[in-house]
Amino acid sequence: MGIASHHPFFKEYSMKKRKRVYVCLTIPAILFMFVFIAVPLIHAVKISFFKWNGYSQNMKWVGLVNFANALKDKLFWRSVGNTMIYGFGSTILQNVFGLLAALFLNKQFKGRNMVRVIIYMPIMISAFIMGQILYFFVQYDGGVFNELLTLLGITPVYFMKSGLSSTIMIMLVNSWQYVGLCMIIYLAGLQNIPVMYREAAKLDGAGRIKEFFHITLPLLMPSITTAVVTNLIGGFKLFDPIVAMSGGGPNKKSMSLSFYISTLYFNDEKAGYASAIGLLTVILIMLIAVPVNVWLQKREVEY
Amino acid sequence: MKKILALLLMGAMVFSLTACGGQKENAQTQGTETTSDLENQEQNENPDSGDDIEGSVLEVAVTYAGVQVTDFQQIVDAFEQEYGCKVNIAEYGSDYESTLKTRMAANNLPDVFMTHGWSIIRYKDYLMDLRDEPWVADYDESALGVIQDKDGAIYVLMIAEGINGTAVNKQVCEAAGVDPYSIHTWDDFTEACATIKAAGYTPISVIPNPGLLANMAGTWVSYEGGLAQDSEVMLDGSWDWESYRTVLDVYEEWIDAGYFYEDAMTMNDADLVERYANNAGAFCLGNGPEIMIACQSLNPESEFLFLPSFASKEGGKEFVGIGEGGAFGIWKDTQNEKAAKLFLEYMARPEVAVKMNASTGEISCLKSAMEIDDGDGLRWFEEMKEKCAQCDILYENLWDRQYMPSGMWPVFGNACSMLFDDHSESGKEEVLEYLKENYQDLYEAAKNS
Repeated sequence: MGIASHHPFFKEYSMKKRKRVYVCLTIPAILFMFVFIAVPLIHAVKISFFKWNGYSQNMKWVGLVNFANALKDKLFWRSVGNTMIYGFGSTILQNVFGLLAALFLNKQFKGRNMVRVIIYMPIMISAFIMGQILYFFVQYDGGVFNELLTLLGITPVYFMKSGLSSTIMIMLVNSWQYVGLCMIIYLAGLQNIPVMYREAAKLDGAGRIKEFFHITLPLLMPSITTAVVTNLIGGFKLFDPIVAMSGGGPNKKSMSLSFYISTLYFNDEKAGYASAIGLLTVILIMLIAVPVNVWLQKREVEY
Repeated sequence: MKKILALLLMGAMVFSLTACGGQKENAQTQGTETTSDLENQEQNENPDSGDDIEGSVLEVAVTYAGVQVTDFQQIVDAFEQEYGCKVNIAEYGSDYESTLKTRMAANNLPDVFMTHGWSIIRYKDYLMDLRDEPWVADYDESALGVIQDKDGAIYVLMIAEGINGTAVNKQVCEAAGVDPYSIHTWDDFTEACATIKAAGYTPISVIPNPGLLANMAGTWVSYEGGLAQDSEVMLDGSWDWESYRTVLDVYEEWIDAGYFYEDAMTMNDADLVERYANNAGAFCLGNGPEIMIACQSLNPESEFLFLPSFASKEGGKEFVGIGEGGAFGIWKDTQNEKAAKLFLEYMARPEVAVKMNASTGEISCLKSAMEIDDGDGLRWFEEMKEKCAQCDILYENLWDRQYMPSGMWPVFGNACSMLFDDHSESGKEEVLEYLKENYQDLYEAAKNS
């Protein structure tokens, strides 16, 4: 290594070599994704064209019948509606409250770290366990909330009585559990905003609200993109808290698409139909998540 | 040198990943096992070497949970000590059925696995015919009716029979002034429910489940002396389900009268057991001693008794469903046939079977075990037989197993949720239509398979 290594020829060679090494290093990850994502996906595409109970060695080719049936299936559309509530509802709540928490916790005060930990802590518990715990809070007979209401002389409320109320309760639990994730993303984003922009805004006479909307929010767009897309996909895939809190009930009215797919595959033994709905779910998520991602990215500013 | 080292390392990473992928199915299906691959490899190289199974490694999948697993582990420890064979218990909990279905699809089942009521209908093609095993001669006649195939094949060692009828909370009935032994028809039962409701208890302690629409249905639509006897048309696939409308009408009456928990539709099983154990409800329909055992483990002070499902009218048959209880089958392609057969022989020993049945609340069905069984399950069953000596009770396989095509069980579960959600005339009509449609589809599918 001497003067020769600074020669453009060697630089180019070294660059090419490095690129090759980088490409090679991605091979394990690509193989990993191929085995655990691509292969099951291809398999799902295949079985979506069959009538199959999920375990028999015999499968019957039915072509596009499973897809056609899905579009006529009331439960499928109900699950789509619930999935939208889980996805968009959770995303809105987690982002609004996550951002508020981040703005509050970005200031210096005693006990700040403790508050951060408390808000973040629910994420460390599995979603299923959290659902089980919250089940005992919202249950009609002897639930924590209803015990408190009874103490206050108020008639107990059956929080999970209807499909809509169950869906909303589950969405609230999911939002509460993951609000800490948004908080962390926004805290990191806030700490990356150079102080000089805020100072300049102040010098120009901008108040706190103007500063937030014209400086903080635009510069937070990369964080918003990450948080929104992550929450959206997470909400669309919601499964564990539904199993724990309502079992998809009452009468399957709080099912998400993931829950419906699982019920069809393992309970109703309609593996082909479940796969068809799984593929429609992937398409649906892509149709929503990709444009949202593109739209948000366009609003990102560079500084 | 560095280049060679980097390439070697990368190669190792890639191959290790490939190896992971190749072992995906095994890794996914290990459950709580701890066996090393080396042990398995050693076993596979020397399968069935005479009578000696020392060093063999068996995978045994069980449906047991909680304290049952602890008791089963003790049995397994003793077996390991006696034979020098390693047994890995795979307990999948509530995912048991899903996991077994996945493993069936991959044609990679545990050496020994519990068949949870489905030895013939679902697992038959994957199980070894065990009709020549020594313990078959020890079966009680009632057990054979449940697990023997038409051609005489027996696919499982069934150490216990499941009995199905009505679980009764004795303390609630006493507090409400109801004599459970005076109940013989569903009308008597409805009357008792009214009394219990008036005393401030929930009469029927259940959540919507398949058994609610299936387990007692025969008393209305199949059995001798009932409102209808449609068994023949059920079996030839031409049943129009009109007689079943009565069942839905009865449930409508009970739901309207508030005989179920108000939040029954969204309660979970653990909550149900807790409430029943703490004397919130009186009757648990379409059930057996298992729930009573579970309740007593939560509240040792609670007291229960067992009754049949009731008759649909005076002179009709009351019914006790006899079903496949704790049953172990051997995967037909196992590499450990000898060890698996010896394990089943060990489980069939009277003292072993009785120990396990005491833990599950099921009733021994091997004659030698029945002689020494002093568990609660058998005690409740014997007590019922004694107190109901004058009753006209039919003991038969569970109604859906006997008369419905395979696959109807989850359909009854969905129908039950639909009924609880909407029990208006149109709601009931929808339930009936749903049941009929699925029955016809599944009947056709079974005929063509």
